[in-house]
Amino acid sequence: MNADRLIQSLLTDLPALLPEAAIVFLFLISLIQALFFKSKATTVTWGKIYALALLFIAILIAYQCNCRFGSYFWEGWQVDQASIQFAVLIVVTTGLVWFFAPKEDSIGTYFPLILIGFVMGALFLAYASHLLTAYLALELLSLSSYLILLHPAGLKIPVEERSEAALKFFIQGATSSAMMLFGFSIMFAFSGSLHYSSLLQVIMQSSNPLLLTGFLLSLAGFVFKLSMWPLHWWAPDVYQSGNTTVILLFSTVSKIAGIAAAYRYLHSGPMEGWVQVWLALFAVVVMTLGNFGAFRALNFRRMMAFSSVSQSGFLWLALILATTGDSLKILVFYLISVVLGKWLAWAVYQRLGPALGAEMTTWSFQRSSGLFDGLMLLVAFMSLTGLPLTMGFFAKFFLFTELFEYLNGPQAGLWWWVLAGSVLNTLPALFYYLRPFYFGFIKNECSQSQLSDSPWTVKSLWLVLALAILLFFFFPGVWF
Amino acid sequence: MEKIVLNAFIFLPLVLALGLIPVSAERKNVFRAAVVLLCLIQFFLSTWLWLMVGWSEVKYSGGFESILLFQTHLPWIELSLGHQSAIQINYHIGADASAMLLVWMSSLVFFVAALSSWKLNEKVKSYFLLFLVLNASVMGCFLSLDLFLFFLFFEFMLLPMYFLIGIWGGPRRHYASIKFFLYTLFGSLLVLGVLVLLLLSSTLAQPEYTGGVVVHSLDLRVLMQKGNYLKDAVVMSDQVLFAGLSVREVAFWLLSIGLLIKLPAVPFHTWLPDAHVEAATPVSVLLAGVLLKVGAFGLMRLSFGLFPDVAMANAHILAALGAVAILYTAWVALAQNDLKAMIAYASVSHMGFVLLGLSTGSSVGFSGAVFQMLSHGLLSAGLFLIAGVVKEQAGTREISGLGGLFHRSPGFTALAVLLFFASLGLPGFSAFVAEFLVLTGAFSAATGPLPIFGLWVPVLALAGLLVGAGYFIWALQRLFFGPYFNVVTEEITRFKAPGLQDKLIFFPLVFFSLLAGLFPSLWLDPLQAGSDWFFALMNSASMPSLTP
Repeated sequence: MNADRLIQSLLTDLPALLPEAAIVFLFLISLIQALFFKSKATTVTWGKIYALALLFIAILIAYQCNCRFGSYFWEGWQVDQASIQFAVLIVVTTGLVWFFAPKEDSIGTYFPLILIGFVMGALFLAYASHLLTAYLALELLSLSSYLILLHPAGLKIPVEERSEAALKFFIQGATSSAMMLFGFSIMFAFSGSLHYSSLLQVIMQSSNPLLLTGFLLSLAGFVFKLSMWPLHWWAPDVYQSGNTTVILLFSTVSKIAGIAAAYRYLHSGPMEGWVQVWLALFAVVVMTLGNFGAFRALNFRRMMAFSSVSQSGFLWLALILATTGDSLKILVFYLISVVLGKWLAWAVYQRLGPALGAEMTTWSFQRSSGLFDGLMLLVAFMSLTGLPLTMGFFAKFFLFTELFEYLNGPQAGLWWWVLAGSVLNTLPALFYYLRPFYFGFIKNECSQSQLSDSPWTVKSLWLVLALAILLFFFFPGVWF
Repeated sequence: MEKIVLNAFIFLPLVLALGLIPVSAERKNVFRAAVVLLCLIQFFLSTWLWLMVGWSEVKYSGGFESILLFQTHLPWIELSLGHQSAIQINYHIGADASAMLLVWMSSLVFFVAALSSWKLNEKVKSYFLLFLVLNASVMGCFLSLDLFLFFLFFEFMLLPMYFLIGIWGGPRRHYASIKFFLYTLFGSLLVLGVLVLLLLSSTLAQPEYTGGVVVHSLDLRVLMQKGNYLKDAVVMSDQVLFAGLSVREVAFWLLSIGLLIKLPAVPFHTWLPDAHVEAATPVSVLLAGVLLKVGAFGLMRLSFGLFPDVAMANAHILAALGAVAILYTAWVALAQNDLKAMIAYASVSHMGFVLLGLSTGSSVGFSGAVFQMLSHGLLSAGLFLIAGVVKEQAGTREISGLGGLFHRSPGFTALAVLLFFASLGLPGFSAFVAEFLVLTGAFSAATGPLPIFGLWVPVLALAGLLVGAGYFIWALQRLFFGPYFNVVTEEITRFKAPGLQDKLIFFPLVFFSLLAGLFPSLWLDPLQAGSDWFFALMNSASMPSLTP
C-alpha cells in the first residue's frame, strides 16, 4: 500500500469519526490552556467548561450514530450499537462527575489535560477492534491514570502515599500490558492476524495448550483495568490514597472502558461453549475472592476497593453473557446501575470523609444532620448489593434471568455452578455494605464527630442520584 | 370499595411515613399518636373486610381463582428479553380467606405493638418511620398475588427489622441483628433463585398458539395451572440434577428451606432466640406475632401451592421436621432461664404445628395450620408483652432470680396465668382448637388407608405438647408463686404493679383468643373454601407428577 492510498483512505474515514476527533481537539485546547492560562483559580472554571464540552461531545456521538456504523481504519476501529453505548456512557459519566466534583478535587494546572487524556483513552478503547488500536488506547488510559493519581489535586494526601500507590499501579499496569502483548503474540503466531475476530476464531477452533496460554495472557490487560483477581492488588492502595473524584472515575469510567474493550475482543466472534462457561466461572471466582477481601476491610476506601473487585466479577459475568442485543442492554443497564451507585456512595463519602475519617469503626450518623447522609449512602449500597426498591435489584435480577437460559443447553452442569455461585455471592456484599450503618446507626451511640449539615447543592445532587436509582427500579422499561 | 381498602393496607402506612418525615423529631407524641391511630384504622378496616369475607360465602369451585377476593390487577413492568420472549410483572393484589385472616391478625398485633411502643423514648421518629415501613411490607406480603411483588415485600421487610432490632434492642443486639439479617437474607436468596426459575418456565399462553411469542409471568393464577408452563420447562421435567433429585425437587427444597428459615423450623431456627431475646418488647411482639407468619404463609402458598406433587411426596420429611421442632424446642425451652428465651423457643415449638398441619395435606390440617397462625400471633404477642412488663417492673427476666410476683400484683399474675394457660392449649382458648385440628389431621394422615407418615410423628407432637405444659407451668410457678424475692434488688417495693394501661393492652389479645377458642367457627367457616382448595390441590393429579 503506497502512501497516497494510505492518506486517501484516512481522509475518507475521518469525517465519519468527527465526534471522536472533537475530543482530540479538546485535548489540544486544554494543552494550550495549561501552558498559557494556568492560574490556579481558573482551573476549576476551565474544568467546568471542559466537562460541559464533554457532555456536548457525548451528544455528538449519540446523534445520528446509525449512519456511522461500520468498520474504519483497516478494520481497526469499529462503530456499532455497542461501541456507541459504551462511548456515550464513558463520556457522559466523566463529564457529569467532573462537573459536580468538589472544588478541591479538581484543582491543579494539568488536571484537565490529564483527565481529557484519560477519557480519550477510555473512549478509544470502546471502538478498538484491532490489537494495535486497543493497545494504544489502553496505554493512553493507563498512563493518564498513573499521572492523574500523582497529580497534586486537592493536596490532602501526602505525596509519598500517592506516589506509592501510583507506582504500584504503574508497575502492575506495565506488567499486565506486557502479559497481554505476549499473549497476543502467541495468538498471532497461530492466526497470523492482529484482528480480534481472527484471533478469537482460532481460540474457538483449537485447544492447543500453548494457544490457551496465549488466550489467558491476552486477557490480562482487561482483567487489570477491571481490577479483577488476580491483578487486583493495586486497587486497595490506590483507593486508599487517591483523591475521591479520581477514584470514582477509576471505579466507573475505567471499568466501563475495560468492559467495552473486553466486549470488543470477546464478542468479535461467536462466544459459546466451553470458553464461555469457563470465563463465567472465572467471574464467580473473582466475586468470591473480592467478597473475602471486603469482609476484612474496616476502612471505607479499602472496602470499596475490594467490593469493586467483586462488582467487577458481576460485570464480567454480564459481559460474558452479552451475546445478543438484548443481553447487551442488560450489561449496559448493569453498568449504569454501578455508575449511579458508586457515584452516590463516593459523593456522600466526599462529604463524610473529612469529618469522620476513613475508618468505619468510629462512624456515627446519630446526629440529625447525619441521618440524611446515612440514608443516601444506604440507597447507594442497597443498589450495589441488589436489594429491591433500587435499580441494582433489576440489574442482578436480569443477570440471573439470563443465566437461567443456559441451564437447558450444553455444559448445563457447569452453568448451574455459575448460577449458584453468583446468587450466593450477593449475600456477603450485604454484610460489608451494611457495615457503615452498623457502626453509624447501631454501634456508636454517642456522636463524637464534627459532622456539619451538608449544603443544599450537594444534597440535591445526592437526591437526584438516589431518585434515579429508585426510579429505574419502578420503571426499568425506560431502558429496555 | 373493598379493593380500595385492600390497597390502603399497603399504601396508607407509606403515605403516613412520607407525611411524618418533615415533622420535627422533638414532637414525639405526634409520631406515637399517628401510628397508633393508623394501626387502629387498619384494624377496623381489616375487621370489616374479614366480615365481608364471611358474608361473601365464597365456595371453592375448581382453581385458585375461585377462592380469591377483592383483586386489583394493574400492569406494572413489561420487558422484552429477546428471542420473542417477554416478562410481565403486574401489580396484582387480592386475598383469599387465609390471607385476609392473617392481615386481620397482623393489624391487631401491629396495633398492640404500636401501643406498647408508646413508652419508647429514644429516637422516636426513626422508630415509628421504620415501624410504618415494616407494616406496609408485611401487609404487602400477605396480599400480593404476583410472586414478584411478594418477593419485593418479603425482602424489604428485612431492612426495617434489622434496624429495629439493632438500634432499640438489648445488650447483644448487634450480634442478633446481623444474625437475623444474614439468615433471612440467605433464605430470601434461595426464594429468589426459585422464583426466577419459575418465571422463565411460565408462559401466559403456549407458544404454538401465539406464533412463538412467550410472555413469562409470576402471577400466582398463572403459576398454579399446569397448562401455563412451557413444555420444555426445566422445572417441570424430571431431568436429574444431582443425587437423584430432579430440578423440580431441588427447586422445591430450595424454596422450602428459604421459607423454613423464616418460619423457623428446627435446623434453621437459631437466629430466632437471639433476635427475640435482644429485640425491644414491641419488636419481639412483631417478630413473633407477624413476621414468622410470613414464612408460614409463603410455605403454604409457594412450596405447597406451586409444588403440590413434590410436597406430598416429601410430606413425611416436612411432617417429621415439624414434629421434631415441636418436641425439641419445647425441650430446649424447658432449660431456659431467661423468660424471653423460653417464650422464643415456645414460639418455634408452636410454629411446628403449622408445618405439621400443612404436611398432612388434608383440609382439617390446613384449617388447623391457619388457625394456629392466628392463635400463635395473638398469644405469642401477649407472652412477649408479659416478658416486657416483668423486665420493666422487676429489672430482670431471669426466671430463677424472681419469685412470688403474685404478692406484688395479683392482677398482672392473673393475666399471665391466662396467657400461659392459653398458650399451653387450655380448652376454651384458640391454641387448643388449632392444636386439636392439626393433631386430628396428623393422626388421620398417619392411620388412614394410605398413611403419609408414621404414627410416631403425631405422637412426638403430642409429647411436645406435654413438655410445653411442663415449661409453662414450671415458669409460672417459679415466677409468680412462693415467697416474693428479686435478685436485682432486695427492696421489697421494687416490683411495682403495672398500671391499668399496661394491663389494657392485653385485653384485645386475650379477648380474641378466647373468642376464637369458644366460637372457632367464626374463623373456620370462611376458611372452608381455602381448605377445600388445599385439599383438592394436594390430592389431585392436576400438577405434573415426577414419574411419567
